[in-house]
Amino acid sequence: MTDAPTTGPTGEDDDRVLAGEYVLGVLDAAQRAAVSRRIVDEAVFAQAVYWWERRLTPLVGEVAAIQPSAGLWPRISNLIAPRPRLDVWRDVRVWRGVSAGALALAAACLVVVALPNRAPPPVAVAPPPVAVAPPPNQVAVIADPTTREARLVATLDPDHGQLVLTPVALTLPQGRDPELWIIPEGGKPISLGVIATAAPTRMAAPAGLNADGVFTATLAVTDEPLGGSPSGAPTGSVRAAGRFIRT
Amino acid sequence: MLPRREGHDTVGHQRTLGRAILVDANTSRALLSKALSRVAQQDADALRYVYRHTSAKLFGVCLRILHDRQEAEDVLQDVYLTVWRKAGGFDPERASPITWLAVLTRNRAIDRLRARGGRVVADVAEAETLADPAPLASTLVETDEDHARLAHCLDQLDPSHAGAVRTAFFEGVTYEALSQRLSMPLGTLKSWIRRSLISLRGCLEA
Repeated sequence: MTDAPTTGPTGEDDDRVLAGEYVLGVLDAAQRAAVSRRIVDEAVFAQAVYWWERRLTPLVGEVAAIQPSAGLWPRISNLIAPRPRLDVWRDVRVWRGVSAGALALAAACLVVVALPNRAPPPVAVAPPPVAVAPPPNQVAVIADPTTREARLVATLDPDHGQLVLTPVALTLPQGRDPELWIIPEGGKPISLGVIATAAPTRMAAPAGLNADGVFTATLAVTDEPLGGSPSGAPTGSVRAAGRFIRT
Repeated sequence: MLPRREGHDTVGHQRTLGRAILVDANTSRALLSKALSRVAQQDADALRYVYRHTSAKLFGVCLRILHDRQEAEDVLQDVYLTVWRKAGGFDPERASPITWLAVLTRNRAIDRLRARGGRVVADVAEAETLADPAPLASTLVETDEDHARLAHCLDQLDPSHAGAVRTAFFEGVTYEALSQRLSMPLGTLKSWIRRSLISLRGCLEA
């Protein structure tokens, strides 16, 4: 370990200050990227960075500890769970939680769709009798893959050939847009575009959504850069997923 | 002269406070190091242990930089997934486990802040008022001796210089943003920080 003071050639002292600036966190994005490359390429410079990391990082002792939300560990735990392929798009567990109870909640939410002037019922409200539920193949609960909390309710309006997305509790980080995807069973996600987080979004039902077999498609919402994924494929994390359930 | 980190004789072993057990820094380091070596073998329970004992502190670090709970949790999730994949890269000879975790966390949070660009976060105070008090378990990872040595060296600086260093570290903002926040000329601030780093280096090497 090279903790001893170095009296090397000119520039080494400057490098040690630069390493300190990097660890302190005052460099801009381009400077940080340049320093990151030098850490990989130059062993001596990397040692200077590690030196400052050890000396300055104990300042985190002065930062107040704050609990993250209770849902964070389950989300992480879910993401590291063993699976053949780390592919949330095809993981049945993502939507296994969409149960009859969730459908009842969807029915409760449908009341909001029908009577938009009423305040939305609290999520904890007792679910209405199942008999009140609309035909289940016309409702899909799009829920947080980890907590199972409903984020959106998707309803099919077959008379008008429309798909209606009603946000229940969809929040995203600032600067991110929610993008809706339809994922045919065994297929790749197809973008249905960016949706609103505060008001229902109506769109033409994707071609074939009324046809046989398409009800196995998963609907998912990812957070994407403003305006939607630049690549046409999902790039952000899955905020919600669910599917229409075949009757 | 403050005791070196290697001194194992400075702190008592354990004391109980209610039902929580506070362990000294060296024991905490050893337990976390052991847990990280098990994480490297893909032991999910070990990652849970690491999460339980470090997430509140690391979330505080993220939130201080990002001032947005959602973004801070996204970064924290990314951090623990990285720990899951790269715990084998942790070298106890190079850094203590909490330092390794905090470095990773700060780098991710600062990169996220840079990627955000000039966008201003609505209300700094709002993020902090949402804070829940952390349980005693989070005190397992305090880095008492290292922090004491650094605080001693910061105390040797001009108080306004030490304040600028602390703000820079906690907020993770660029020189430019920091000069606006502290209402001082950019050149003067850079000079303060660089001179402070040189002084700190001399003090910390002594």
